[in-house]
Amino acid sequence: MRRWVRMTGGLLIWALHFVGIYLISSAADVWSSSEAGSARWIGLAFSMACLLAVIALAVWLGRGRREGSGEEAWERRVGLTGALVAGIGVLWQTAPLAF
Amino acid sequence: MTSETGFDVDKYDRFPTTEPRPEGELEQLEQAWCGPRSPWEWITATNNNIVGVYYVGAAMLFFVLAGVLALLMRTQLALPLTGFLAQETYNQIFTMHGTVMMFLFAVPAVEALGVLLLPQMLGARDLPFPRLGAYAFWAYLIGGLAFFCSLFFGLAPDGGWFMYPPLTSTTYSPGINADFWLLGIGFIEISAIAGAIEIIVGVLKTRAPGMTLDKLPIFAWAMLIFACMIIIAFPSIILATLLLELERALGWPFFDPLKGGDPMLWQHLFWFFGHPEVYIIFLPAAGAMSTIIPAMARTPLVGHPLVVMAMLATGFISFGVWAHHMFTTGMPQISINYFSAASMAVSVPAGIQVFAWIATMAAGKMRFSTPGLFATGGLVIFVMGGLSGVMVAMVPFDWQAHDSYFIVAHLHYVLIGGMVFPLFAAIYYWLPMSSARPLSERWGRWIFWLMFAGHNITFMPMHLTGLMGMPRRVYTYLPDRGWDLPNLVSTLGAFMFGLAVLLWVVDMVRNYRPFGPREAGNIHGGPGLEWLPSGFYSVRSIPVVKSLYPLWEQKGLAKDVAAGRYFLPGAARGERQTLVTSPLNAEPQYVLRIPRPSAWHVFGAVFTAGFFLILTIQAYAAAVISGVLAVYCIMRWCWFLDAPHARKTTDIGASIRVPNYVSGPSSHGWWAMVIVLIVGGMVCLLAAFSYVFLWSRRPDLWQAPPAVSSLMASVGLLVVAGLCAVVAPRTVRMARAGSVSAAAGLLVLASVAAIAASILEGRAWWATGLRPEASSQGASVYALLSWTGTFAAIGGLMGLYVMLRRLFGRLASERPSTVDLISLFLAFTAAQAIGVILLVRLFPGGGT
Repeated sequence: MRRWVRMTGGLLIWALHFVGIYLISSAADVWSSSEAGSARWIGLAFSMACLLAVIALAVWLGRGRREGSGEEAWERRVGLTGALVAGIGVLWQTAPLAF
Repeated sequence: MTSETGFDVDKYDRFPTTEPRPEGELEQLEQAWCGPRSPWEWITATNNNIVGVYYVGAAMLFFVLAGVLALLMRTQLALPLTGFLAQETYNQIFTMHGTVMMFLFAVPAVEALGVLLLPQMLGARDLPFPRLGAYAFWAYLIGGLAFFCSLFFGLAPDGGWFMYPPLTSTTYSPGINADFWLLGIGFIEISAIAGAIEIIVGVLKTRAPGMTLDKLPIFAWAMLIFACMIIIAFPSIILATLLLELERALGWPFFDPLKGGDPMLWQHLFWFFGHPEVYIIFLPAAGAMSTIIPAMARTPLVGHPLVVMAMLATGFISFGVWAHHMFTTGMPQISINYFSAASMAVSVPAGIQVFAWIATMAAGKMRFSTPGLFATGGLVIFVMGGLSGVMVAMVPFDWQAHDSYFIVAHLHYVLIGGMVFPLFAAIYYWLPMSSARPLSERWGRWIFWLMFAGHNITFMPMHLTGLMGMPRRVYTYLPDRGWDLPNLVSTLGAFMFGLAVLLWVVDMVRNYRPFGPREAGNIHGGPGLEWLPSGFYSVRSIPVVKSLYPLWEQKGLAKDVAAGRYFLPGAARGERQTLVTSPLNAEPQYVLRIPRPSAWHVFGAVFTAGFFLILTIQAYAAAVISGVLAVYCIMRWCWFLDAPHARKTTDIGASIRVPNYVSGPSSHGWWAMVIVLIVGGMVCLLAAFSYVFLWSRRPDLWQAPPAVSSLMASVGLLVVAGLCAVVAPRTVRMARAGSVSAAAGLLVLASVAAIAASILEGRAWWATGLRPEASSQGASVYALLSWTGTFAAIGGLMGLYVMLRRLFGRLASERPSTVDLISLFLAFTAAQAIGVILLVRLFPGGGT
């Protein structure tokens, strides 16, 4: 499982981020309005947490890149590029909250 | 490399072996894997080489049938105010065209390609559940043909391929046309899920030793992600069809706003399946492109790890774009913005793949024979469709283009470029491997150019007709709106495409003629294991894989494999066997005995299809009889599983011995059960979402739950059920007198407790006066309870099954798999039911 998480961790955080911000705005829509300032701030804080998690994952993957066999290096490369794409994805999908 | 299972990978150095193979070994292998010898054996066959060809053939049959429907539509639309088709007939035809293309062609075709190719590609003798694969095929074929035939009786659905309520409610669709869609498609999706289970377990557990994830063929990666996506997405359509059928048949108001329902729920559920469906279709096709382009360019795929990551990313993000089909429904603006952003973001992984293909073509020396032409043509068309996709991801543009012919053009560019052209490339590329005879190259070039031109002549003008305001799904239009010429051009293009398909059908018939030479060999110089010399047994011996491109980089591999110098070169004791390996490093774990053909899965498929089809025409007694017969056939099929082995271990080559039987998480059966439970859990999760969603629409209609005392009783019983299920596997392994009977007793007790809890909970809600047809709360509470009750009932059948096995001496301490798997199911049933009961009792609280 650890190796699967290493490969897909960034993408999992991206998925979690999407579900999270959608749920936050949907819940806000039920209780007040999805445009409410508090919902936006909660969404931003959540996005920041996800971005930090992606960065932490990338640092962890980057540190060990000289260790391990060919298979492990390959898995690490998949994980690192996935984390990069996930970071861009999280930033991009946070943009609607800022406007 | 750190070992995953404790297997010493240095043992791979013993291969290829050098000592001579025993006399008669190959003959014994051929005998064990012999092909059908009578017409009946062609029906009961389970070998992937046969079922895979049937499967691809059936999918292409539905492609041709749905294509004929498209030509009928285009004939009707060639000129304004044509009376070629009546309005009602046109509605049925466009609904069936979309439905058949999406549900009966696209998904089954790529699944079929997986069933046909994966065992050879992975170096396995067959997929791990060949009877399940054959069951999925027969269920699909029978259900699909019966569904299609509804057209000839005027009973075909007519509400569009996405069947939006309220148009499909009994008020506006009073006949049984919509029921055909709901029950037919729900059933066919079950078959797709069965195929996905087969593919996931096959890719993860039956790879050739040494085939670590970095050496896993890119097509297998694509099929793995595809199958996982099916497991997550398809439960949504199963739930949606169940809910709409419950509303139509029993009046449970999930989508009726007068009673607290909301048609938007259907759209959420449908598109949570419907948009990933596009990527579900695209990914295997992309996997085929990533295999074919390097082979045709004679160079490794550029950016292989990036392409794998891009496919994984596509799989994830595709679940975050479903609401881009709902931009005009009045969703909150911020939610629309999220989905718009996600829809644009999905072009990043798609772009990575496209650039990798272009770079591979540039890096190598691309051969533009027919597979190369189809791959390149598909790439061009898909990029054009992708670009118009980015356009409609932008909300203001979507508001203008929504429900116009622009969308028809966009979706056909994406689906034909992203799936149909790659599929044709795959057929031209792999057919020499499957039928040992290539298709005509000269015809192939004609077919490609006719198809490429026909596609663009058909769909390019539709961008304009859409921007000029022509709506989708109209059976005719008025003259002098500027739509006449583009429509006529589209119709001419459609017939050109049709001619290409006709020529291809003729060439396929020529190819499968039962006479003439059959020795094409590896004519494209493909690098994968599927190009090794093979028979019904797949490869003569299962090789050690040391490269992503074994046939290019492992010299002499084909010769050594054919000489039996690798793993499992024979058929010990005349059994059909394959090697099960670990999911990450593909280290040998055990030898799997593959069942021989039998008729039970075929009968099971016939009666399962019968159950759903008869239910459609509301002959309930006959449907129940068919359902009972289906259950009986499936139980008979399972009866012969988990049988004793003559020996505990097998020498798989070079004096390496592995067990013939394992249980628990190492076994393939355990993986399959876990995947089944994920499907069940997803349905339940989405039903819970529906419950919360419906509450958020009309909280004023919701009443208070039953008293807490009954909650304690229900949950208490379920805890007992869960505990019994957890203890049973430990009990059966005690190997003491009576431990097998005790384990069976525990499972029976667990199933009885789960059933009792379901009844108790249902009665508690009934006593509050809540009725399923009265409000959305009633409908959603009883739907959730019915779902968990169904699991409890299946658990009851399993309890009966385990008792019968005990009585007939088919349970044993040294073979605990049956107990393990039923325990797993019952523990899940209990946990799921506890979750559901707590949700409906505690959320939203005491009512309003």
